[in-house]
Amino acid sequence: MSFTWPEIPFTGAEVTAFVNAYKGLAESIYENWFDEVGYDSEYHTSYLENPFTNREVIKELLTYGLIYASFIIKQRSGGGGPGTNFDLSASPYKPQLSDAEKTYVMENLGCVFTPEAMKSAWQQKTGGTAPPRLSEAVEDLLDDLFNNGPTDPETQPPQDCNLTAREAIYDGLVPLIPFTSFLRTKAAFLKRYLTCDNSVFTEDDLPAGQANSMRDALQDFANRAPDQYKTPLNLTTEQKALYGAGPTDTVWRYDFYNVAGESRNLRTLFGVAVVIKNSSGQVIGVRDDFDFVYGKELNRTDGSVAGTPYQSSDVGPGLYYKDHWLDQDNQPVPVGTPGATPSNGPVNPQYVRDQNSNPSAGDEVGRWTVATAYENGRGTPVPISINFTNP
Amino acid sequence: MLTSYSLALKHLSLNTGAGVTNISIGSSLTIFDMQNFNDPMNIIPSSELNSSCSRYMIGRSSAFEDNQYITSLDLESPYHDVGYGKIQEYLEDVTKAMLLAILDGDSKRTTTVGIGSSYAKRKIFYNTLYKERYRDKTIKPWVNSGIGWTATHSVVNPVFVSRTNNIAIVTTSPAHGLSTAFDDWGIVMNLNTGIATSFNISTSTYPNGVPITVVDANTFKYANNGINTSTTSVTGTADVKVGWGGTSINLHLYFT
Repeated sequence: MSFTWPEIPFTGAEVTAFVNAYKGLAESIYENWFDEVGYDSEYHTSYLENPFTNREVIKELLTYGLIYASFIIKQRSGGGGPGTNFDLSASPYKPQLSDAEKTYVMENLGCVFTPEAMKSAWQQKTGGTAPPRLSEAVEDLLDDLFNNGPTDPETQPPQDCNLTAREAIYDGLVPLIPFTSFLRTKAAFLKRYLTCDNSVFTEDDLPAGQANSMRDALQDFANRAPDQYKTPLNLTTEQKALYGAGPTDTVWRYDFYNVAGESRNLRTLFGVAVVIKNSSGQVIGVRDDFDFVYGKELNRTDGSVAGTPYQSSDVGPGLYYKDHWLDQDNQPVPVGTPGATPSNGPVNPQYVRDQNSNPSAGDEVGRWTVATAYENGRGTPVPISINFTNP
Repeated sequence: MLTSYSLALKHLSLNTGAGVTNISIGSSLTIFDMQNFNDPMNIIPSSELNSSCSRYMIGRSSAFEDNQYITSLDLESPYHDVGYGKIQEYLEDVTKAMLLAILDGDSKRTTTVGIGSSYAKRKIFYNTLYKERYRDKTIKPWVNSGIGWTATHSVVNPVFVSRTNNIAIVTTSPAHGLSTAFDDWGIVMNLNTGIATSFNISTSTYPNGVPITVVDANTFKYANNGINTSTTSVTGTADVKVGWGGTSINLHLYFT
């Protein structure tokens, strides 16, 4: 039972039957949420209206909706007792506020739209203030995001593999990012990539509090996602050892480019990754190479496996920038991939930038950043090898 | 959870009628149509935000690749407060979606739990809350006939209309045939010429019409802003719709 249901002040056979059906359906909605609530892979938006994209918000609304829905059933079914005997104490009703009280409430609710109020709300609602040295940079970034988008050309060329001014601002904002969605982890991966640090990223490098969440998300995917997204790798003991897996462990290729991966925030974190489970089925590790089809991409030729050091000669342009075909989701795949169709040929980084140049329209700042870095010859894939301590 | 959210979720709208409230003062005071959805006719999710709010939220969402502007109602400091009114609208949306998913047929005027798999009911629930471009128009509630929400109940023929203090009164011939036992009737007026067209109802704004109150066998009335108009002969038709209601759904507040 995921819900804590309120007491229903109405009785009757119809109400009882309806309440049972309501609770059962609500539970099944909550349980199946991650596998059934879709995201548009192209535009990264949910099919559902906001705020119904949020599982926990839906849970709250379902919880409180039971009273009113059962009230309606009671009213329709007639009969005596609370709900039909004109006893307001047994019916939900709205508190009455004076105009002055309404004004007071509205003034104290957020969603205010002057720049000063937005910045104030930003700092207050994120639980603290930004470091003083970042204050001007944060203001510039807010202006950039909310007014123009990152469409202005970089004014400072990158120096080797140092972060640009804009990237430094993003990096400075990482502590303000909420813990949800592995955004801090993605920011850590991206910083490694942009600073050309190709050392192996391990569990010790994860931002605080992210390891258990990642393990739980992977375990949930392992337990509940459709089998079509999980492919067991038939490996010898020696081959397992390359991944750091033991003889009795199993090694899997998980594809997160789907609703199940999206809803667990694993799609843009890993895309496709190798997951290791112990003999009890517990996820104990994940291996991946953090690279980009619209940036630098790693194609290992030396027999090494994902999540281990690689030779720099195996790094090249991402698939977008080479001859490629497009799959059914309009994503680049190698030429000749079954089910794919030929594309118009390689694209250039400017095209990717243009396609993602307007964050106010929902485009991806990260993709814009990676394409820009590629254009300047910057970025290196990051091997990721994370082991989990199971509870 | 914010106190305002908690209050909003625990208390539902006390409506004073959808433009038509019957009050009689004598030996008693009776007020009908006190308790119903804010929108007693439609099922369209009410998640729209004003443009400034949308722009701010989309900008923030893009910056953090977070496409949910309400992270959780349980957070002490949600990133964006939307106000108790919106929370109540969201609650209505979800309540309607559950009623549509659970109840039999078109979910109107019934208390019978429908037959069907849990998966099929979840599909209806999601479908009710989908953005317009993703709605499945082949299943409940958006299918355009039968069990569809906006399916027309019947067509009547208005012959006279008048308007007093923003209440329109319509006389039909022959009799409209609408039972006074139900309080969930709605109307889409489609009159043909002249001032009569000011009585019309836009289905783009009100796809399931606006609520009416049945006066007698040939007359009904509905809220309709406009100049006072004396009884005028008209031609045209009116589609009768059914909304959220039943024989006694609305709370009838009664004092003696």
